[in-house]
Amino acid sequence: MAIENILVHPGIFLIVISFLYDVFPKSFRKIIAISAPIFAYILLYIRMNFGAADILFHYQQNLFSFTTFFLIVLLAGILFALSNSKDKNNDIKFALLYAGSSISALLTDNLLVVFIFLEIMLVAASFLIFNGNNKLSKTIGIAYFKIHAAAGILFLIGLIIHYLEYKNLNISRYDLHDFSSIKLSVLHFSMLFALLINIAVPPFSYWLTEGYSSSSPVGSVFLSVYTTKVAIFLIAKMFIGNKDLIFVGIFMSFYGIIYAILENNLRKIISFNIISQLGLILIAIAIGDNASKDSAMLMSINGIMYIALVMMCAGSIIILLNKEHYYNINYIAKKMKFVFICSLIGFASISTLPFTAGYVGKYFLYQSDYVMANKWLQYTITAISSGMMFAVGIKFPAFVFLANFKQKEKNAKAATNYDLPIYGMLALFLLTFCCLVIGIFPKTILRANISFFSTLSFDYLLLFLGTLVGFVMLQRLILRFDNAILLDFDWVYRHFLYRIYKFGCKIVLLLNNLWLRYRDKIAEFFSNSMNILFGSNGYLTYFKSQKNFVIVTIILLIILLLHV
Amino acid sequence: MKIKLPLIIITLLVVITAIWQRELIYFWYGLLVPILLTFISLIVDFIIRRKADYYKQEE
Repeated sequence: MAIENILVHPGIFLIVISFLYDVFPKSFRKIIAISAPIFAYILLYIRMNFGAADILFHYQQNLFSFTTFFLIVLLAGILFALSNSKDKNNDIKFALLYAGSSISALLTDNLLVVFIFLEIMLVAASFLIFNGNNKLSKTIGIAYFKIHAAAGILFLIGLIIHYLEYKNLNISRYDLHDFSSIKLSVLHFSMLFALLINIAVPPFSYWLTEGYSSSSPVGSVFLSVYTTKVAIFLIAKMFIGNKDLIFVGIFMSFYGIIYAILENNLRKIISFNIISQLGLILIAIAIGDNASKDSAMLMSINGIMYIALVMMCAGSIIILLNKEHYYNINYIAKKMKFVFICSLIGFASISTLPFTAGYVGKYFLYQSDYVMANKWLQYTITAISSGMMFAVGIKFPAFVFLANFKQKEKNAKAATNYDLPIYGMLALFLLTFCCLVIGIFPKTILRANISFFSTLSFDYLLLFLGTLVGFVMLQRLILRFDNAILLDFDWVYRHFLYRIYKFGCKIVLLLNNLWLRYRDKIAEFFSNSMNILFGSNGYLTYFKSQKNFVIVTIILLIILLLHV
Repeated sequence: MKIKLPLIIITLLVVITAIWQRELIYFWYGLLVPILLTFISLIVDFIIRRKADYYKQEE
């Protein structure tokens, strides 16, 4: 591996810039932060067209779109950070490290390189959460680190077994039904569990919702994109076509939808939507035919765009209003017109409306032979789409931008300046523009044709309208779910098991205290008993002579025999 | 929320799409799924809801 191969690598370039970021003079930092993703794209283009494949760089056409979109989100996120972030230097520095390591993990075909960059991603993401400076950000950052470190250990176990078994470190496809040896089963399941934790499959999903909502509004834009998408890409490489994962995907999707309905924290609603979205991508990967492969790829790529867009809109609201829950926000559509329009495009994509980025991915899922042959799966996917429309696509803009909750703002005059700074508007515009381009001209990222006037698009329009009517009917019922804590699966191992542990500790402590308190008395009791029985004047002194002992024993035996 | 105008628009869109599509099954499906999901959410909410100071009490 020549040194120029390492240097002319978009991911490594971003990592180097992140390490040197503090060394640059303050006046140059802004220019360097904005130009870093652009230079990384140029490097990517050069490597894709003129470079040779090596350990760090594995060529695939899909990777080009994936990496390009990662870089676009990085650029938009940096612009957003420059306009809003309180701690912009640290946010940008760790975002560059995070994006650089995730691009490096994406572009390689070597398991060891993937493992190393996944760990660097973990460090960068943890620091992005620590930068949130909330009450919870330290605790949640450590929890995030722990769960991903556990996933990293599982990945390492799989990696070692893979090397011992195949004598190479290339990423290969695994069959979960291959139980020919225990070693292989451990390899498959450790890899699968490591990656499933990274895509936030319940019961290991709390890191996503808690982590993204306790980081800074800028940090959550970066966090929402990279870890899950790299992991889902690795699952697509390793476990494509494993039909069992369909049920995991369905469970994930409905879990995300139900929690999104109950939730009222802006960023948590979007986080639960990410889980649902990942569930849908997992279903497409599990099906594994050509159309569903395309669908998984497109849903992942487009998801990067519109999830980052809606997360940025939520972040803008939090920054401008300093409010995290929708019941504290009153009719802001008129005050934040630009953010409102941009978010509508994002939520239209989540709602799978035709001419949006979300529709492009799902179109191919319905073209899959397996989905066509299994009506139940077709209806399940449609139900998931409807649920996502209901829980996020309609609920978020309706309750956040359009609803007028009870009281009027006390300080209405003081809080009139809701305009984003120019960099923030530029960031939102960039992502919105990309979403529109992908939605209206899908040929920019794929070669196949999409018909926007097919039966499916009208079916989806009807589905949306039905869901909208359902939302209008049920909105008062949903508003019941106001300020409260919703227990997640993490309650089992963060509270229930901890309680059992504490209860066990209490019992041990109680026994220990009892022993300490009464041990002298117990010892005295035993010594007295011994004295009474066997002392010089004790009751049992009679038995001390052998003759008496034999006589008493014979008498006892006779009594026993008579009794029998 | 003022829902009169949106409802008129929705009704018009439904009618136009239904005439185009000649069936309304997806509309009813779209109406049924949120009702079912809200019902399930109510049950889940009953089980998992805790007061806001729950974690403080735990500590």
